[in-house]
Amino acid sequence: MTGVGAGAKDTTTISGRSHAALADDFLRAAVRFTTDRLKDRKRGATEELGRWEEWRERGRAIRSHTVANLDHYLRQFVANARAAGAAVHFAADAQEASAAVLGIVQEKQATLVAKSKSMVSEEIHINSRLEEHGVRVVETDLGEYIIQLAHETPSHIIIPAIHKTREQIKDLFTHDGGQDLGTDTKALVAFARSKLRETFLAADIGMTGCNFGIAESGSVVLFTNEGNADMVSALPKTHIVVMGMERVLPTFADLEVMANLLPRSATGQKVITYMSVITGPRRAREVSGPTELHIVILDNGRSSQLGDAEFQDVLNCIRCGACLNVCPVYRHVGGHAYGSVYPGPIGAVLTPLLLQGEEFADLPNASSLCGACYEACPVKIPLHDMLVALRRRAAQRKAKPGGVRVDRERVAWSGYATLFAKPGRYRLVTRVARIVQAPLARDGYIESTFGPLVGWTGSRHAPALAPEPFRDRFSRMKQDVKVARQNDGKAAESDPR
Amino acid sequence: MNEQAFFQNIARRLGREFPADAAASPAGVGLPAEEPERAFVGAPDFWTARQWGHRERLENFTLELGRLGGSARVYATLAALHGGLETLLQELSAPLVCGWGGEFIADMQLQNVFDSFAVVPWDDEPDMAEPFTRADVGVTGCDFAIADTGTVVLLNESGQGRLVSLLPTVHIVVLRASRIRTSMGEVWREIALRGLDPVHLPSTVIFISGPSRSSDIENDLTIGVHGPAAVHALIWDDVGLP
Amino acid sequence: MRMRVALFVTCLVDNFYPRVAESMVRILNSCGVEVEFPPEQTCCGQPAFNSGYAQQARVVGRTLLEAFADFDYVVSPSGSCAGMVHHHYPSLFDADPDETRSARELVPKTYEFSQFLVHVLGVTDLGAFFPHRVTYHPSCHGSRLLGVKEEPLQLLAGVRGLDLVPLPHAEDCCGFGGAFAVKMPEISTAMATEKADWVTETGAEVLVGTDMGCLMNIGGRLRHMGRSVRVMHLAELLHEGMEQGRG
Repeated sequence: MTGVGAGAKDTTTISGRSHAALADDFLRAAVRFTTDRLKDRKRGATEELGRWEEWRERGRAIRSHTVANLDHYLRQFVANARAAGAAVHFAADAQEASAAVLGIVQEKQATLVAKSKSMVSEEIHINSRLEEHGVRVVETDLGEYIIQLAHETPSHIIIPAIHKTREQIKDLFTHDGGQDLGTDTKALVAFARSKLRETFLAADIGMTGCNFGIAESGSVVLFTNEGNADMVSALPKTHIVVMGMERVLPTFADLEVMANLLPRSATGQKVITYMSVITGPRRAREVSGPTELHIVILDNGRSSQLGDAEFQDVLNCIRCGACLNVCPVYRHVGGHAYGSVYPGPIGAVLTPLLLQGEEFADLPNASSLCGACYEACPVKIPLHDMLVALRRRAAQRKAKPGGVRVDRERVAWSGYATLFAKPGRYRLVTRVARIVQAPLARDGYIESTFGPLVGWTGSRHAPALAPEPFRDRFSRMKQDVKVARQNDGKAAESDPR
Repeated sequence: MNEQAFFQNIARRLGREFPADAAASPAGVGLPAEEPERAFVGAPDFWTARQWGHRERLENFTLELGRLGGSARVYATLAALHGGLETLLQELSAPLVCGWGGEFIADMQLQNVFDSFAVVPWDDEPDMAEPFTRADVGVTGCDFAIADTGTVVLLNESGQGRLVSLLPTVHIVVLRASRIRTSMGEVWREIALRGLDPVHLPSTVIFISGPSRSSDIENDLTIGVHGPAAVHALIWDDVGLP
Repeated sequence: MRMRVALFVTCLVDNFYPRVAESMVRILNSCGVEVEFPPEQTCCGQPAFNSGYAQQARVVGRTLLEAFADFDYVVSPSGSCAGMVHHHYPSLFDADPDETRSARELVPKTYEFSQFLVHVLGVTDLGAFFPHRVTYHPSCHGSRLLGVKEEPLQLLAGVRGLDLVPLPHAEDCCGFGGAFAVKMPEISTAMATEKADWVTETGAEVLVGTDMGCLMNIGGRLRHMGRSVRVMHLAELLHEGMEQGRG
């Protein structure tokens, strides 16, 4: 267990990684400001739509049904996409996916790739892979562009540069463009617009993720507010889509539900500005659009969740980021503390499931299990229950031979179980505790700065055990039971006013 | 990864066997034969059952597009719409205006307006990136509009180049009021009636709701990041009073 | 036949906050309900369960199955502990058919205190008088998992003289989360500090809530920060108000 002040340079755990964030008042204020705003807007947008719980339930049912029949719907999607002229590639992991993309890029002898924001492409680290091979990759989402100039990674699913100030952005753009732009949002945006316009026109290849794949037609659906996915998929000759294999929806009718849930949950918008539905490359009769469409379908740990009753529904996620915006832990530590592509509650569940590295082992502990994430989730993923299930698995792993040799936590909880399993032992142990605490207690509080619970007592006064537990007191209580009375407000007779 | 192995893995995880013939097919897995049973499809009934009249759709579309930062004007006659378009183009005094070509010009009888403002139409030549990349204003029609959200729906077709609605700073949409539907679901039902196969469904269907926007810099909403900074809808009320 | 009501005291209230349980008994008495206390109960097992130790939680949780088997209603001062029974007992005890049955029987009869008053007894006005500025923190488990949102507010609305000031960002977790507070102390403290600051900002003399875990956390932080806000469980406030209302 990490105590207060420990782990300043520890980057292997979330408590270590969050240390710097917790000391950064600006970061916390920025994240608080934006997440509050998104939360308020979401509330407004869902109230305006009305019957939100029915929409959520419909969203959940559609996603659960699709995931439970993924063999069917993905097959249908693939067959229809192919019939429309798309080339489909399958990747078991990040390595295979980036190899597939690299293969297409090299075959086209491409030197410039324009990208539209995509979490799955972050997941396969495609940018660095392409750059290693001399291919320039430019992020065209404004937030991603900022992050790329800063050589950082996104810290929010929807707002990648949530942690950057306009001053910092001005410096990045000024450095990139060679002239001082000032801090006015309009000037900064105008710079990005003209700079990235050149990229759109010059790029050999456009690369996007995929918000939804439609099984009944083989279409790829992209949501953006800026219009950059449209640019990237309309201008270059070749369009590469990287999609997580669970992104499928059976029909366009189901898409209407997601089109209502996603923007409202993400940013509190009633509707996304651009929704592009792409089915195969340009037809012979059409005058614009790419002549080649490649779809790379990625597993990367997703299939391991299928058939697992506890975790299958995590694949319902539509990447809206609503769980981040309501999460008090995310708000305090920011996205980078989660140490992977997916931050916040969804990241604390998804990352250990997909990646299984030691550095992600304590992510499920970074939650007070307050349930705000579940309440916010438009497809009702029980993230708080999944966090507990992950803790349970971690405990079971440690219990196996070859696990951690002495697991202090297991010892502690087994002790708890032994003592609390029988009322007699429970009474005895609490009686002993009362005696032990006597020298530490003052005024009904313990103000200790050492001991095993210092993480608690270092910043909070802990209550002392009461001199007598309720169970002892109860036997002496005389119950003066009044005749049941109606709650009709007559009690006002005794109002002293 | 091998396609067959990819699907077999998914099916096994879900407790099923992937059909042997599909797994063996050299052309890829092909379409599945049977649909899984579903209790329901798409939006809740209370949503799809709504029946808005012409006036309600028209008013709601106008209101919603306005809320998104766009503008919409309704004209009783096509001639009045032409007058409105001329006024708008005069106000914008854009050096270069481009537009959809082909049937659109004939359908909305725009030839005269296009001529007098030297609008460059994109007919059936492929890949006309130039001069469209430089255009300040793009004039398009739309195949559908959605009252719920102030959305216009554009299909990629001959004479309907995608870049016209995308690259210019100002996007003007000229449409008939009879193209306005209540919800997105209604639009999809109509598109599906024509067929969702690659012959009938174009490579791109774009749903545009107001001007391009971003809040990526300190959550400060800005308009016109990559796509147009202004969207004006000029609607010819070809239905008239209900 | 008279209904049998058991007090599900919770280990925290039993050992640290007996006054809360006493207040509950007095209030229920005044509503015509005699309360029994089956001493077989120890703890619901939630601390171990939430840490990933389900077997250990099961061993402890059995004390509740035994203690409450013969009762019609089980009333708890904690929405979190009542929520544990509601949400996790049926699956926690699904290995043994007898235990599954008792767990399933326990769920519908288990109530959080304010829930029991409002929905079972139909009481919102206890004739209490409490002339103070009060703010209310809705605990996460009670409000989100058990759905206890309006009940405490209805009861507070029935208290004369009480000036209820809204707590900004009330729905934010206080950072307690059981073992979370010990495992992730820095993050937990940051959350508790924020909550304590909002409480202070309301200018309230009293912070009231329905879960002593959260109140222990916020109260401990407030005290450590030298803030003099009084922290009370809803039952304590109502009982004290009833005494005053009578006086």
